Amino acid sequence: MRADLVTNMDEARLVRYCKENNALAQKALYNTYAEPMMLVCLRYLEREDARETLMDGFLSCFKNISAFSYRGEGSLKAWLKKIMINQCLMRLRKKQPVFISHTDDLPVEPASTMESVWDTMNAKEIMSRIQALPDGCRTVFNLYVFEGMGHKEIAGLLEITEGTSKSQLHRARQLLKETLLQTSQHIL
Amino acid sequence: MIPDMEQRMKETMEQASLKEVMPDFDKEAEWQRLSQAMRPQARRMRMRTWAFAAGLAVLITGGWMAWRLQSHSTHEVARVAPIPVPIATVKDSMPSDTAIHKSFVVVSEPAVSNKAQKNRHKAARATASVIFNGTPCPIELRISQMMRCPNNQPKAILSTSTVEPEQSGQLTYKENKSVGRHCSLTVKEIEIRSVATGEVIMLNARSLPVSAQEVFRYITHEKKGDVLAGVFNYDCDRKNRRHNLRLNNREGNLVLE
Repeated sequence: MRADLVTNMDEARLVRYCKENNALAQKALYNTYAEPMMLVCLRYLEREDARETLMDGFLSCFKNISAFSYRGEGSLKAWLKKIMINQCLMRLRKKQPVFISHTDDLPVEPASTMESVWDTMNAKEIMSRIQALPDGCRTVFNLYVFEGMGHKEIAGLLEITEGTSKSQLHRARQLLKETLLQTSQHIL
Repeated sequence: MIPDMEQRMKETMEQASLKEVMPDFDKEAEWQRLSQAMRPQARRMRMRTWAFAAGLAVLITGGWMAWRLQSHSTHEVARVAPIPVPIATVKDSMPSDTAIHKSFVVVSEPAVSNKAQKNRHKAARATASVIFNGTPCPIELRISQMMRCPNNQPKAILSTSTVEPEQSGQLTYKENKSVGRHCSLTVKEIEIRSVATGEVIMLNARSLPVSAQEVFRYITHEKKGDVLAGVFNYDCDRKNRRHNLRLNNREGNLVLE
């Protein structure tokens, strides 16, 4: 099979060829999704861990692709993202992140003053601020904001209580607010 | 509910390219690392399959040998390469070397019939003192005999015959008549070789499922019927198909089938 044909083929065929262990199809799949998946890993882990996790994720993908059924555009990306997030969480579990639970009432964050600062920030700056968060609250923040999970789901996934999930999100927001304030003061 | 600020953060990150965040990410180098990691995985899987097959073979062979040793501890096992022969006939005692009353020396002869199974007995019957090779492979038979005469050293006589598949050929061995009244002939070994694969069924005085002497009785028509000489593990095309090799003189002439 010609490499350019593999590159241009639709995802359904790409998946089919990957199921047949076609090396060109595997590379085409990697070329398409390596960068977006690395971005996902970088939100959860620091650089070196993210690199390792990306590799583990693709290994897991090629190993288990026979069980994947293609359900239209976006389904492959969603499946891959799920694998990557699971791999990230597995790696984080080995590091045993500390999830501190705060039982006191959590105030709702006013976002108004920060909005102008956010608008000026690019992806690299946002990523560096997310990466600067402690493991526990960064994980909950990612799952809540980027993956769109609810606290119940996050609690089940991380084996923590819903209260801990809420407090971790609160703490993540507080820390981000602090860094944004420092940035805005620096800009002003 | 995600605040607008976080929604915008999410959108920014979703639209971002990795080059902005990690410009030194080398996709090709990472792919090389990944493909290196994928290779041992495939190798491990292949190794696992081979280890399983080897383990299974060892278990089967070991089990069979244990059973065989238990059942026939006093007998030597027939040398049939590479997998031993299942027992077809069990001999309680080995016959002593017996004199051969009838023998003849002949050489290979062209085919009489190309028709397979159903015609082969007819073809064998048509030529007296011949052996018909009903197998799909050329077969070589080597009969090793020992001649003993009074006041003389025993003399070994080796006769070799090759018979083409689905053809008749004549079988070579020493005739008793030719050795004189006071001498005797005994069969030491019969080697049946599949020429294409090199597999050998070696029969001797203590071999199983049958001894060389017993097979010789069928060859000389001293006994009527058929006997399992051994098992070839491969066909001539080296495909792994076990098949029994029998000698049959039921119809009058000797047939390898």
